[in-house]
Amino acid sequence: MKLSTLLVSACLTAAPVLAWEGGPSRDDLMKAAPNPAWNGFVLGGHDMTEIDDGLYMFRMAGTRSMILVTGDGVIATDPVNTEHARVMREEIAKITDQPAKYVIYSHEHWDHSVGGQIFKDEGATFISHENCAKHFADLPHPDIVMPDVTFADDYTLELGGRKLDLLYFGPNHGDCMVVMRPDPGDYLFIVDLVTPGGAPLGFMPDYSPHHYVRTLKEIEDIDYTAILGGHGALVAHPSAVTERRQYLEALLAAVKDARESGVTNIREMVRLPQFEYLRGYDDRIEDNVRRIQTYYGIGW
Amino acid sequence: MLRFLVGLTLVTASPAWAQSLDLFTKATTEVAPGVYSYGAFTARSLFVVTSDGVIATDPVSPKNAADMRAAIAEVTDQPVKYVVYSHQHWDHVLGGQIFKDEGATFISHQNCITHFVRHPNDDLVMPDRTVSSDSELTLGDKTLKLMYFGPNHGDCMLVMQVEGTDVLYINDLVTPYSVGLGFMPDYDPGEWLRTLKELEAMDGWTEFVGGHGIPVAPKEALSQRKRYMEALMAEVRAGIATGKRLEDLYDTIELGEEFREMRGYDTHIRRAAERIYHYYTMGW
Repeated sequence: MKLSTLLVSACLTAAPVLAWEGGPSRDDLMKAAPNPAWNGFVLGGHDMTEIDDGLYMFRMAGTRSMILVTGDGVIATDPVNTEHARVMREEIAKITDQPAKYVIYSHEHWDHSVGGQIFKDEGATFISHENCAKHFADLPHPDIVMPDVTFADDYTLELGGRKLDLLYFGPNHGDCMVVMRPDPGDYLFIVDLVTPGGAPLGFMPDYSPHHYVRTLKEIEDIDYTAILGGHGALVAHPSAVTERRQYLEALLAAVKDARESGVTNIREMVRLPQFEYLRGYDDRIEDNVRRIQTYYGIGW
Repeated sequence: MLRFLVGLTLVTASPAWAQSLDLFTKATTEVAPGVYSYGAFTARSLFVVTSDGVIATDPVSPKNAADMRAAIAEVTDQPVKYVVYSHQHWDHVLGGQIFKDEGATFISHQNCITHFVRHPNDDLVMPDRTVSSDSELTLGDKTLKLMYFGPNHGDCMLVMQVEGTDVLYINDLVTPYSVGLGFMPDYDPGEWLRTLKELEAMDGWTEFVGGHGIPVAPKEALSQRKRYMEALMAEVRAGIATGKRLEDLYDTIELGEEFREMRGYDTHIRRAAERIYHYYTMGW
């Protein structure tokens, strides 16, 4: 694994011209946390970036999808919405004539899973964790294509000599999240579980906090080189996962301590000054604290 | 005498929720023959005295369970044979050990088990039996109906009714005359509204005991909560349709006068709007 890491590091450095959005260089993004370069992403327009051999990231507005081009067709991920999917399909056509054979959902939330019909129309097979199908059925959305194939644990998709591992860690952000790992294993496409350099969304919808921490620890145990982000920085050093895990642990500990010491105005009192540098911290810390109050108060 | 007069003024001049704002003094109120509402504004449970023992519901916490056990003993010498959980949240289900120790059988909807396993708690007694759809629990001369409406507030909520009475036990789906928690933890707003509509359309009941709030409330309080949810969701949906961002909605949301008088409106309305915004944009 060490050898493979070295090879890819070399490949990263020697990578050809990439559309880096006029933002920070890949070298800058691959520095460990805390890394201010992770805040240098853009939100306007859209772009397609070649990350590695056959591996691309498409971004529109603030959301990204991973694309794997193989000799026997294309594997796309989160269609996000109808417009995102349409432009992504156009951008794929500029890279390859291959048809889109598969679409993988990272998880069930509509800001990632809507809009796949254009891929369905060309015959793509849709894949998600089985728990996503329950959410899609429970709360239908007219523009969500239901998955054709579901799975209960990890799943490996093979196409045109490439392999894509879908790693399931149990409940964390919702209960059907997969982290995607294309061969040879140097990159993890991680949606929502970490947005490098940022504080978590205010009230952490649908998160199970202690399973979230557990999942991040399990990701930290994986030997890989770079995060590909669903939001925020295009690529990031794996320490972004550790930074998020440490933020959550500090948040959980601080709220727990405050509850046990009888602090009454916890939302005003609990702060994490050591993480003030995180993007969005000022706007989100109070809601983060409120979310963890609920976790300790009602077990949700 | 002065106290009495002040109290009278409150009753006539304040919204219905303000008529009983004693948050912490627990009391027992018989709401139908043998059916009791027990608790305070902060947490409330139902217990049922039958000819062959007692059916208790949510123990809430070790302290509350001990207090409720004493309150039951003031009404009857019968042992507690069953404890039924309304749903999985810790602010209702903890502290049942005192009933377990006297041999009670614990019952919940089966979906609660997943939550109890995912989020263990030392003060939680695991259910001995589970139900998966509408069920009946008969003990002595009474039958307690356990009604399941699918996901709404969590996905293991049971609404209860002693057969032959016109009183329901509806935990957390409605807190009488209150808007409820702003960001609606664990709620599925669409399914919640559906559940309220189904309860409103259901015959055979006129009053309910809530999991928080006043001892017993008229059915109209449920209808009011339903109207509040409809107004809130319509307002947010209309805002999204006209291109409002979350920040705009958060700052400008305002509902009609009837809803502005509900308990907690000023505290919770902005977060409620945020929650519904996520419902319409993220499917959560």
